[in-house]
Amino acid sequence: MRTKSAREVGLFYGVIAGMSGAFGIEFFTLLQHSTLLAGPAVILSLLLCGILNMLTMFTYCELGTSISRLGSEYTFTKAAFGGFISFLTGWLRWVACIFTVALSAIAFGQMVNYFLPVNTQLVAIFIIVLFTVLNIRGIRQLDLVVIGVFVSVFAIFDIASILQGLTAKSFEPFMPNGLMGALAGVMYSFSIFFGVRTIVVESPNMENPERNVPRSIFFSSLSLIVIYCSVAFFVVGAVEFPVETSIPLLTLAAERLMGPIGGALLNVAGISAAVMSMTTAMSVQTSIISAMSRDGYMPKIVLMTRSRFGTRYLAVILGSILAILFAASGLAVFVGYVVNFTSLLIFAIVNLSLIRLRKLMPRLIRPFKTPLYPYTPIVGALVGFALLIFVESAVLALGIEFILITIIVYHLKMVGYSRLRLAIGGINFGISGLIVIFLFLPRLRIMELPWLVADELYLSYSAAVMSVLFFLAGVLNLNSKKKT
Amino acid sequence: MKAQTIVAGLIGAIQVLIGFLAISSAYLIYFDPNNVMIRPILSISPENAALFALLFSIVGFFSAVSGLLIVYEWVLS
Repeated sequence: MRTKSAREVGLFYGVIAGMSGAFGIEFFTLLQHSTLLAGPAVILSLLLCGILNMLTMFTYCELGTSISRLGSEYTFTKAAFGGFISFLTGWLRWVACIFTVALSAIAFGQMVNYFLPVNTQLVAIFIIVLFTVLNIRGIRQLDLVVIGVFVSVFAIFDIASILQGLTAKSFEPFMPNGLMGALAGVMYSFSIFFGVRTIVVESPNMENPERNVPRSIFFSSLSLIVIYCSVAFFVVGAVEFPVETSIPLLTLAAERLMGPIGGALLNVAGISAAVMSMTTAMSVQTSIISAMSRDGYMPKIVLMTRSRFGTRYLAVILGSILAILFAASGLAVFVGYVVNFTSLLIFAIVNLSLIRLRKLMPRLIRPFKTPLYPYTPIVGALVGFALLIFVESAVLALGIEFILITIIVYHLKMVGYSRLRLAIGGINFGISGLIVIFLFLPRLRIMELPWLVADELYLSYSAAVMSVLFFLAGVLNLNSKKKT
Repeated sequence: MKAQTIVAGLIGAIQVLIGFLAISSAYLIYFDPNNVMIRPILSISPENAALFALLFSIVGFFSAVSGLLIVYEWVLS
């Protein structure tokens, strides 16, 4: 039975919560590459993204109101599948958060660079370090004022565009890269709308959630579609294609329409968005890694390390180190692809969770039921997997590698200590043998490895020492005395 | 017995070091920063970069885990 919350709010608050969740750095950074992929059809890509996202938000809504009001994908998949799938979802969500932190930091650096001639990567690293310290001290989210700033800035941008007047010439050809380009734009813009799921997280605070949560999802999605598509429409009208610019596309468009003041205005909004996204992503990554640690999927040490401010500092620091590594690469497009890749996989898995839970728990009390079931989750899952074909090949390779490592980590974690030592011992013997093979194959002219200069003595000796080292490590692991 | 324990600790520490070096190399091979030039040094073509990054990261991961387990047992002893 639902107990009345001390702070119950209505539909308006729900809409605001959804919009504040989706107003992040993604729109500022991802729009640029989406426009490059889709051309003026980026407006269509955003529209499709918004509609697809809204449909899956109804899936979130059903799962959130029946399984967990926390709105976590990890919790949904744990109830539906458990085991490896929930572990993978938790990892994917964690990685998505880390890459969102990196993306926000890179964007922050680029936007600061607009005002001051500073090194973008160094600024990105600095801002992550700063927010790591702030997170350990425990900070509150900064979303209430920022939403008003965003709507105002976008409204000024739209009004300036209308006053300037647009010619139809800017929109021709509408699809320079064809339908596939527009679909690639859908894939790359995907995470722009993903933050609407904040409504499900906020549902415990809402009056009559069975009625207000789905309506909030509908109205906030609709508002976001209108805002983002109108801004994209005016951006397309303001710049020529193909766009080759070192400054963010939105800033460039604002500069063209309103002069330097417009560029500065959009940049300030972008900096606020970066700060907001980073704060949210850091706190979400900490809670995910803590939840996984509680379930035994991550070392318990993560739960034990609490700062005097009550935050789990090891979880915060671990995520921040990884985010710094990716932010230091400065590859905003690459990081954007990873954010979308992980979001799409999570999106597909959550839809599959709904289908499975309807079968597993048909009598579960569902205050809200996804409309047009089973078509809505089936389409959501299929679209999620299908859009992965548009992911850049390097990111796809990295994603597959990541999933392989996840499988290995999961199985190693589940087998118990003594078996883990046996497995690691065996792997050490394998690596030792492989080093020997790689050392001798080129010498015997069986296999050519141009990168391995096998004739150089020091390399041969180093490889031989490595092989012996791994062999000895294998023996040490097999002779482990500790059994538990 | 004492010498064996010291050697075990040393092997563990070296494995941890190799593990982190291999993971760092995987990162450098994949992202190929201009000032490091690791791909030309190892003659790795951009098409094979992902594969080599995978190899280095897997070997590095197992080396680090194995080393940490050996060091853990060494600390307990």
